Amino acid sequence: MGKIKRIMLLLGGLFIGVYGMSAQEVLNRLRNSTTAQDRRVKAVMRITDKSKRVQERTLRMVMKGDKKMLVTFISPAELRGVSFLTTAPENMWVYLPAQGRVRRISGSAADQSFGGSDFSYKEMASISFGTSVASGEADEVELNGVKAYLITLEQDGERSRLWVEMERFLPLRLEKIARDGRVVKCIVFADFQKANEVWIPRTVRLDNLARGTITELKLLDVEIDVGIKDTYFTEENMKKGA
Amino acid sequence: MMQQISRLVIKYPGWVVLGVCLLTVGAGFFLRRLRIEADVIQLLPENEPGVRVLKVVDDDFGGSDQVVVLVETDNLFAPGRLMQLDSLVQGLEGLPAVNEVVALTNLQDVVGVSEEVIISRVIESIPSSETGLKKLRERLLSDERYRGRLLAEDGNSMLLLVRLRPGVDKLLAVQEIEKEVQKKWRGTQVSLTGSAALMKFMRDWMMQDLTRLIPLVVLVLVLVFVFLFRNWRGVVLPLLSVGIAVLWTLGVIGLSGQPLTVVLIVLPPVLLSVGSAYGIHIVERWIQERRKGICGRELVQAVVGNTGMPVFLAMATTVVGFGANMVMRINAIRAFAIFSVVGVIFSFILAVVFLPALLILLERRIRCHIGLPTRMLKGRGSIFERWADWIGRGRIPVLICAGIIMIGSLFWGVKVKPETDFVRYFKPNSSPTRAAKIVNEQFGGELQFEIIVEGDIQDPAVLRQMEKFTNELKQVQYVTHVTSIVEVLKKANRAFHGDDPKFEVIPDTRDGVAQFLLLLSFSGSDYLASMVTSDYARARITAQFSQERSSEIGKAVIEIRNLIKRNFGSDVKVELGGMPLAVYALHRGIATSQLWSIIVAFLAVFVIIAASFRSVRFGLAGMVPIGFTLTVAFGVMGVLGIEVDIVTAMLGAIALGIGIDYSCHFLGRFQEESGNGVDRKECLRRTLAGVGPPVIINALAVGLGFAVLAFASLVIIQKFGLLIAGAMFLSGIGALVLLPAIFVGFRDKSNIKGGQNG
Repeated sequence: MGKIKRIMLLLGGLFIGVYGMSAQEVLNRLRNSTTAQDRRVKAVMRITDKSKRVQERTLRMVMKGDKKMLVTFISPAELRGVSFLTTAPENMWVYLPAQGRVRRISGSAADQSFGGSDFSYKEMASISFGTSVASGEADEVELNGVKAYLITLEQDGERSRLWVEMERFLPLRLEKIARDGRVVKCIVFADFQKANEVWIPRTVRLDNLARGTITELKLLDVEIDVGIKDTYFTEENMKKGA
Repeated sequence: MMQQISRLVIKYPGWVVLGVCLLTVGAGFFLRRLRIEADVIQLLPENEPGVRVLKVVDDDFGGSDQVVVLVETDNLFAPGRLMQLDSLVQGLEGLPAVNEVVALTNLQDVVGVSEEVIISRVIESIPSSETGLKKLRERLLSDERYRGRLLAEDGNSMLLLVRLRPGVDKLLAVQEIEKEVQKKWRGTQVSLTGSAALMKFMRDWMMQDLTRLIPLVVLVLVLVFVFLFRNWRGVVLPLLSVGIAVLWTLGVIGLSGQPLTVVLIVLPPVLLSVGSAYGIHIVERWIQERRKGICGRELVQAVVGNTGMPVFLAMATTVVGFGANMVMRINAIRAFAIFSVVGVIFSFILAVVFLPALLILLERRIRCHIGLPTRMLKGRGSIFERWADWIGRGRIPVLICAGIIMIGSLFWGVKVKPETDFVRYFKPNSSPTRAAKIVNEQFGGELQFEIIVEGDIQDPAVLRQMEKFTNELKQVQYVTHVTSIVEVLKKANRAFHGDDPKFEVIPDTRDGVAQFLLLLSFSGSDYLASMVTSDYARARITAQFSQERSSEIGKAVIEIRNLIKRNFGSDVKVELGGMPLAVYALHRGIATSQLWSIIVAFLAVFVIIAASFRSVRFGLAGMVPIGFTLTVAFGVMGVLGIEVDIVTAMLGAIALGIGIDYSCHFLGRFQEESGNGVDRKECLRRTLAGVGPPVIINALAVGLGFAVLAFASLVIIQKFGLLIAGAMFLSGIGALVLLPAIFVGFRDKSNIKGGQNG
């Protein structure tokens, strides 16, 4: 971390100590701690349905910024090579190896379940809160014995509550709130590891309270800021598969 | 035994009354535990296929209970209407008890256009212009996936299918839906139907019946008692006695945790009518003995000793009749059998113990002469004496007439068939009936067969078996719409290939299937979850059925089972279930065990009578009036086209159990009078003069008590009440007509034992 950045953070800390902190400031600090230019991740997705049936899928995810993402299925065998590419929420493509074809997907697919999980494609892409907006003051609370800020987020008209660890500005828990005030999804971030000055949660667990299902994402191999180019996100790379 | 009871009552009347009061307070405590259960599924054992499959749907496919919201308008596509509907759908989706709402405004579709797959709502945005709305109307009506399923052919009515979360309180859920509809919809008619809504309406109406019918039965009994006794004791005491018996019985039901089902709900009015009869006989005899000038200890001994035995016999036969329903294979009817037996025993105990004890305590304070005016007793007696003389002369024509009526009734009676149709539990012009009719006629039906397929659902071979099966399933009569993952996969394949119809086939490989299923998850995981489990080990096929009648359901069940056998291999396990099967299970339960319950009751009652009077001939003669009554009752059902349902299924055994009482009273008195050394004619005159009035009043009281059920909200209870009422009048008259006609022909040396029983 640069010297100037450290001084700014120190000054910021002093300011907060005197005046408290706004929710947007907490969100900005969180982004500073967790955002990378790009990342390449191998992850295992465990989907547990209401009857406790577990489905396991291994994925390779390559992401750049908040918009570009290429997800390729490695396992199970029948899904090996299936790829999803997005360059913007409205630009999504799918490659099905059994058909040998790429198709653009439009409509509301990005808002729906991703691969049968409780995450939507949008949630997968925006896990670093890049497009969220925070409002109001940050409340100082405790979550499981950890001092945290509690802030309210807005994203595409959806409201969420986010607990941010006070010490390192890391996301701890995110609750998605329905219009009637019910918590419909709860995402818990855990097992943080630092790579290239960026904190990465190695475990992300999503409890879909409305459906009674759970999706757990365990990050196995994480590479941060490896210099992935924009030209990586192409149809050809989708077809290269797993 | 009766003498011992009378000694006990004479010795400790105060303690008896105090004990009854304490027990009544105790029973009152358990009344709070009473709950009404209108869920049809609760009437069936858990291992019934229909119930078992519904549980699988609850556990694996997001829930089986749904409320069907029928929205009727003059023009659904008028500006603003669809927006209002969308707001209603969103409101319903937000309800905690609701798992999913299926409606045209939120339905997802997968469409292929050239190189693009569009996953979006069927109505992506609601047009505001009239032209746009007209085009949308035309598009939706031209698509068979929506026309006649969610949208009526005329385009003016729409269905919203509201699926409830498994395990939620269905009644509260329906109430929430009703409130939301009232809040969000104005102007045109909205009706609720579907299994959960029907259950809620049934519960409301049962509640209404319970609170309305009991006071009505009491009122009828008061009128009958006033007519009979003309003094407050004659009115209050039998009512008090039977009222306490009903309270005790309800307390026992509360204590047992058994819910009040649509069958058990008729028990309180039934018990009030039946149990009051015991009190009538005790009080009537009390009055008769008092008129002879008997007082004190002798009076109690005379009443309990002489009336106790016939009343005991009446109780025993009623217990046997009610208890015979235990052979029925339906839990709710068995529960009725158990608690009605308990209630009848309570009524008897209170009549022979509590009533005399109370009368003793009252006698101590009130002057000795009470009862009916002499002229009335005399008048009643002389009518029946003349009746005995007339029967003595005209026994042959009477018996021939009875035989002709029985033969005619048999002809019609054999045509009576079991039929279970929950919609017909409601009045024909009621909202649930109307809504169900519209849904059946315009939307393919509200009943739904559930077929669970267990195997490797991603295997194209399994999917092809499912495809062939669903194609043949569509040909079954009254099956309207069939939904399964097969159709969805085929549509996805077609959409992926630029909407080319030749790709509307099951993918050739397992990978191909798996990958399309993954793609389909983008159209909402709830959508897929209602058709296939997340591990693809189970799939669900649903078939809408547009008939509610169990006989038609039965035919379809047989046909579908054959299709399953024919189309699926040994690598796949297939189970048929759903609400139609639950209805059919009730049908079978009634069809196979109703006759048995009557046979068991008939034999048991015969044995009791024959043993009590130590005479096979008495036993056989005693069965004649009730046999006549049952035959005529079924004949009337045949003529009027009344079918046997879950409540009328109990008719035979119950009518037998109650109706035989009149014969018992006749036989008891006849035997008593035979022991007095008079000739047969005089014996009959005395018997008829003695038991005629109480039998008529008893039949009137019980019959009118049942007739009150005609004011019930539920049609099945109305039918049951009227049929039993008719049977009571008939068996009362039968005992006073057929038995004298039979006994007048007996030779004096018949094996009538002298003296009295008990």
